[in-house]
Amino acid sequence: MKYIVLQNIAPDQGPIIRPAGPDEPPVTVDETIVRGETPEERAANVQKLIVLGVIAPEPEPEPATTTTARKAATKAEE
Amino acid sequence: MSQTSTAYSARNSVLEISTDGSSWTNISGSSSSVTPGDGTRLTGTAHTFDGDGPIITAGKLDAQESTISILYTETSGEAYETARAAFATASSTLYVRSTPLGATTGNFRHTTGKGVITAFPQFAEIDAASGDPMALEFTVQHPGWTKSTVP
Repeated sequence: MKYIVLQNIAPDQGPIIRPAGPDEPPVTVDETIVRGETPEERAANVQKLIVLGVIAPEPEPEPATTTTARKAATKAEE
Repeated sequence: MSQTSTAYSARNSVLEISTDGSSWTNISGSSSSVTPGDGTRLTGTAHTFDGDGPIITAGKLDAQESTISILYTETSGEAYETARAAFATASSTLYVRSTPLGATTGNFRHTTGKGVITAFPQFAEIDAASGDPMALEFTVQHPGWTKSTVP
């Protein structure tokens, strides 16, 4: 899972990771830069950073469907 | 406004230095204090015939001088040998990074821009009458500090 950087992040090693400028594509990181001895601890710290507004989950790319197919799917759901 | 419950001492602070701003050496175990520079902005003033007070204009941020107190040790990788080696290079480049509340996710981490060690005593003051650990202080001149978050 990728996360968009919204505020400066200073990993334990490496340079500061800065958010993208207004006209730049978003800077993303994965959970491996987040501290944590176990996957559960790391997941909790990811949530902490999301709550603090430091990172945000990257939106899932929309499936490649045509407008017609989407409309048909919506109709079928109704 | 209610009194804060989130004030802390410096007991968990982490201090790190780097010669490239990327590879960091934790010197918390052999340093005792860091005093950040004043963080001043250049300003100018002018008086006009009309009005009583001055017009004040804001310029750019000034360079800062931060001082770091370290213990004199002769162990490789500790504060003295790491900083002395940085000072001994032709550029004396040094970046400093402080994490006041400790390296825990969500805490602030303040990092200097690329700085220069401007003063570094070759060794600590030697006083036969003192029982204190030998310590010295060095100065880094640098652009401001950047606030980041510990991930």
